[in-house]
Amino acid sequence: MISLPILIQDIKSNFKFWMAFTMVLCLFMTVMINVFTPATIGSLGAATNGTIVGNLLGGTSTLIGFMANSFYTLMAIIFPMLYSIIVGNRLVAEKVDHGDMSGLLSTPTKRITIVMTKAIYFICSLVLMWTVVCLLGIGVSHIFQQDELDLNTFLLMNAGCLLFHLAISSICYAASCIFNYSKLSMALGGGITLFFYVVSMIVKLSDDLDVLKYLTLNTLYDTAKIIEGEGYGANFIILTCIGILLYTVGITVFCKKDLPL
Amino acid sequence: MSVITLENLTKDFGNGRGIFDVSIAVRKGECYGFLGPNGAGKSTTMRHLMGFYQPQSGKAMIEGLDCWGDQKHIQQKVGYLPGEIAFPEDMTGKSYIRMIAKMRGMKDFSYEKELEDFFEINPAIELKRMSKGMKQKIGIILSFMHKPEILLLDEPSSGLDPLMQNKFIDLMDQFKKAGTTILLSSHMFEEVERTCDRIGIIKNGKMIREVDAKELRHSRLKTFRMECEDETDLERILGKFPEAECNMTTHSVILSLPDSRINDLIAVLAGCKLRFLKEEKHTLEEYFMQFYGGDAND
Ligand SMILES: Nc1ncnc2c1ncn2[C@@H]1O[C@H](COP(=O)(O)OP(=O)(O)OP(=O)(O)O)[C@@H](O)[C@H]1O
Ligand SMILES: [Mg+2]
Repeated sequence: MISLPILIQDIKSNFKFWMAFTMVLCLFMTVMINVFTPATIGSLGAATNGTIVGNLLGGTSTLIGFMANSFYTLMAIIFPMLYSIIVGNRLVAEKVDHGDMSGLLSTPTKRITIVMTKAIYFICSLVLMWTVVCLLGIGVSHIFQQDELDLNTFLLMNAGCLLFHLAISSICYAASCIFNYSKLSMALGGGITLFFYVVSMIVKLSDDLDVLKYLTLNTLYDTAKIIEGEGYGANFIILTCIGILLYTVGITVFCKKDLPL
Repeated sequence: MSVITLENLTKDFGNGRGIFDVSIAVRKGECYGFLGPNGAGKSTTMRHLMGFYQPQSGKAMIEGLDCWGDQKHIQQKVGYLPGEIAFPEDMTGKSYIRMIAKMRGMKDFSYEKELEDFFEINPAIELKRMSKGMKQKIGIILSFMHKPEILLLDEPSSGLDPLMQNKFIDLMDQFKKAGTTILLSSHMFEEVERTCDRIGIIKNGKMIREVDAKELRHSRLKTFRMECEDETDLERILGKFPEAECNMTTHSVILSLPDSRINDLIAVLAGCKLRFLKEEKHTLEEYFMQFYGGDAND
């Protein structure tokens, strides 16, 4: 069900994006782990208590807590999201819009093989991205923050983040499969995911805006619950289901639609 | 049994655009020319045959297999040259050819190499940097390299210089000799007339007429423009061809006649002093008018 030549081409043609976003994540991971010192955060916590910044930072006395409120609410969300928006669009919609998809379809390769291969590339590239980032995080904290890292929670934190990004990528991929125009696929894939992000930021600002959390997928990546160690399971399952569903939708639509090539 | 079959194929894009009730049957080894002006629906028909579009009604079939759904089997035998060629921007011609060949399960590259030499192209540069004609050549190599039994060629010679156009026609002749079935679309009368056995004329999405190329070649009127030195010559021509349009001040004559009368013209001209004589190329539209009168604008 997969085509090796297509897989290789996708790896080559998207490598620079994967590399760039993975490096940025690694960089921030390293910097944030380095920045953490239990004492300074403690005083920062006191100073900002009750303020908006305090809400944004909350519960930062442990390394994992600090990471959850900095790296895992900001960089770990936004950068892979951008990767998904760009690469999701490049994989299918851009090839239909530009027309080079016709070359692939002129060979004895089924449509489903083509989109399955591209979906597999997309998923694997994100898994690999998080594997690299996660391993780096473990390595860096071992060097700079000896014995500060709660390994189990850290692994769960990354697993959750990966599931969240697989769900995000499924939105971008479905948009890419549904639309024949690159700009429409970008508008929908990018629009929805960035909307989620902005809403999730607004929710954090005040308790009054709590209802808005139902408008964003980011709610399902609940770092607080992961640190508490319970109540995150259902979220993980929902994220996985969304991912499976939207990838399936994208693949099905692509196999059935007219392609103006 | 026909190799390429369209049965009442219809795809309505709205506003009178699309193709309507198109039926064609191309026999094995036949070269069928699909002739029509811009926007007539030639590429739309080709896309149905490639399985890119699902027919709204009717059917497109190749060797009895439905083009919508049986792509995997059909593509093994088909070579397709799209009307608007687009390649991945970040690959070289060479690596792209290799990739498509791999997807076709091709092992032997000797014929592909032969084609490169034949069209005098070095594909080892980035596709993005290639000129229109070079891209067209790569497209031709991609659609011919696996020696397909069926060729679907959408305006194949666009972007090629006249020398290469001739080479391309030679290549098609080789394939015709080998028994390849060809469907070729074009808006150039000469191209289709030169290579095809049968010609279907399409306009505004409807088949206007199907003609035998031989019949067309001979029945068709050719138009000549000439200029004479003397007025007496003009009269001599008018005497033999009263339908000729003459301009008494410039001494020019425009005359349309069928091939059967060409010798009469030469006999008359033998006694005239001409400044020049040339055949006027027609636009497709003018051809339509010649043959089918108002029909073409229905
Ligand atoms: N996907 C589409 N959606 C809407 N309209 C379309 C679509 N594809 C083609 N058309 C319209 O259908 C008509 C036929 O287009 P087509 O590309 O088949 O013409 P053509 O005969 O190949 O012309 P050309 O000689 O310019 O290549 C045009 O009016 C075009 O605008
Ligand atoms: Mg066309």
